[in-house]
Amino acid sequence: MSKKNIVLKSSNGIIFEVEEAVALQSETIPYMIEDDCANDTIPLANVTGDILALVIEYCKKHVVVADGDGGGSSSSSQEDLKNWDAQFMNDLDQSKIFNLLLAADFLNIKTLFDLTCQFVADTMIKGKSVEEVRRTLNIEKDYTSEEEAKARQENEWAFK
Amino acid sequence: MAESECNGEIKLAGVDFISSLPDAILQQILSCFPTKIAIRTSVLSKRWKHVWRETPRLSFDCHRADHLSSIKKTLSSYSALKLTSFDVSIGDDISETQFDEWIEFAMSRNAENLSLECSRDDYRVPDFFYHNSSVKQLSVTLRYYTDMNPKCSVSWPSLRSLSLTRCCLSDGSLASILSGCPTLETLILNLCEEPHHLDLSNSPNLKRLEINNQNREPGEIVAPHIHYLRLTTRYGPYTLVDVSSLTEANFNISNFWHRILKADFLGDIIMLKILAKLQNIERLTIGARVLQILTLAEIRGLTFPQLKIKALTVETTIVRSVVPGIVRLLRSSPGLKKITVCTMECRAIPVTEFDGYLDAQGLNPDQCWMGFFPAVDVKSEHVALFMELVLWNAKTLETVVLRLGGYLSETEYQKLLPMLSRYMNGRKHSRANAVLNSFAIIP
Repeated sequence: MSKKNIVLKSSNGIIFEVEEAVALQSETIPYMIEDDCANDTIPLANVTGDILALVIEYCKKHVVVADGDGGGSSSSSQEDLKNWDAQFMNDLDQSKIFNLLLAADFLNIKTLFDLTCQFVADTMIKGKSVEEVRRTLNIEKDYTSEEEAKARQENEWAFK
Repeated sequence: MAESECNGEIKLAGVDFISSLPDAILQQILSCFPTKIAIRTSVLSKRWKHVWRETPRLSFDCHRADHLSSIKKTLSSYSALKLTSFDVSIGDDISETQFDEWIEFAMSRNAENLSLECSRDDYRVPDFFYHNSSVKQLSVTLRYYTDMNPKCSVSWPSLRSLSLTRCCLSDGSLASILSGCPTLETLILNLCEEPHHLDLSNSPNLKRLEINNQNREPGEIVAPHIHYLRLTTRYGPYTLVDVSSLTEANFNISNFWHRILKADFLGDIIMLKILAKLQNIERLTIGARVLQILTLAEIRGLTFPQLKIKALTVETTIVRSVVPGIVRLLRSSPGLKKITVCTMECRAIPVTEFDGYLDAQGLNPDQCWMGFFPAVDVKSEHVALFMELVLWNAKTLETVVLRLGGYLSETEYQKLLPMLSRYMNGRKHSRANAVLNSFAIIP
C-alpha cells in the first residue's frame, strides 16, 4: 500500500511533510484537507515551527502501526510509550510546554493534550503551597492580604 | 479569552505564561486534581479566582460534619454547565439525605462518570439513583455489606462500566441491574457479596469481568460473552461453567489467613478444569499461588490441557514450589510467543505448609525440584536459572521480558546481567530459541 503524505506549514512558514497516519492523529487536520486537492499545503497559523516539530515528533512516536501480527506486543509497547512520553515532556521548558498545550488543543490531539495537562498538574502544582505555585509559574500576586484572606474564606474547607 | 493570545509564541523566561491560557485549558489542568486542590488555585491571583468554578470534574470527600456548610457553599458557586465527572466520598457523620442530595446534584448536571462512596452502615441506595440516562461509568462503594437492592426497575441506558465495592447483591438484584444496562461492557465486583451462581449470559455486550473476592467461597461463573476475566480470590478458584469467548485472563489467589492446603484440597483439580476452559485464550496472567497449585497438579501427575496462549505473564516470587508448575504450563503452550516474568515479594504458600502437605499426601517432591532453587533467600543465580528454565521449555518464544521490580538488590542485579547475557550468547548458535528476538530486563 502506498503511503500518502501531508504537507503542513507552520505560522512562521516552515514546511513539514508527514505521512497521513501521523497527521491524522489530529482531529482538526481532516477538516482542513479539501477532498479534491489533498496534496495542497495545510497552513497552521497558530503553531510555530519549533512547536509543530515537537507535535510531529510526538505523533510519529504514537502512530498506530497497522501491520504486524497484533499479538501480545501491545502491553510492553504501551510501557515503552509511557517512558518515552515522560522523557519527551521532561526535556521541555515551560514556554515550550504551554505552547505545546495550545497546539494540542488547537490541533485536537487528545492524548498529547491530556499528557501535557497531567505533566503541568504533576510538576508545577501538585504538592506545592500557594506561594510555591506562584513562584514556579511566575504568577504575580495581585491580591491584597485582605482580599486573599477573603478568597480563602469563601471556600474555607479547601484550605484546611 | 481572546484568540489572539494563542497566536504568538511567548519565549521570555520569568513570564507568567499559564495565566494567559484560555479558561477551558486551565480547567482541564485543574481536572487532574481533587476539587480541594483546584480551589486552592483561586488565591494565586485575581485571574485565577473563578477559574476552578467551571472545572468539569468535581471530586471531594466529606468526613467531617463541620466542613459541610463550607462545602455546600462551594458547590453553590460551582457554575460549570457540563459536569463530566463527579466523585464524592462521605463518612458516617454525614447524613444519608445529604449524600442523596449530592447524587441528585451530579445527576442534574448529567455527569457521565460517577463515583460514590458512603461509609454509613444504614445507607440505602435511593430509587431515583437507578434511573440515569447520562452515566457512562459508575462506581459505588458501600460499607460492609450493604444491600444494593433496587426496588424499582433499573435504567442506565448509557452505562459502559460498573464497579461495585462491598455491595451485597442478591440473585435478583444483580439480574435487575444488568437488565437495566444493555450497553454495559465492564463489570467489576470488588469485595462484593455476589450470587454464588453468577450468570451473565443475558448481557451480550459485557466483555470484561473482574472479581475480587476475599471473604466468600468462590462460586460459579456463566459468562459466555466475556473476552476478559480477572479473578482474585482468597479461598481458591472459581468454577468456570461457560467462558467460551474468553481471549484474556488474569488469575491470582491473594493472602491466606487460613491454611489452604488441607487434606481434602482439590484446588489443583479445579485449577486444571479452569485451564481446560481457557483453551482458546491468547493472553494469560497468573500469580505465585496459582503456579504453586499447578505445581501440585504436576507432582500428582495430573494431565494438563493443551493451551493456545501466545502471551504469558507470571507475577511471582522465585521459589522452588512455583517451578514445576510453570515448566508444565510452558510445555502445554506450544504457541507461546511472549513471556513476561514479574518478580516480586509476595506471600506464596509457605514452604513448611507446602512440603508438609506433600509429605502428608505421600508425595515425594524431591524428584520435582528442578535445579537448585532455594526455599528462601533468592540470589541472582536463581533468577538466572529460572529464566534459563523458562527459555529451555518454551522454544517458540520471540519476546522475553523480565521485570525485577526491585526484587534483587543492586549488587545481585549487576551479577544477573552477565549471567543472562552469557546464557543468551550460548543460545545464539544453537537452535534452542531460534526465533527469540527480544530480551528486555527492567530492574
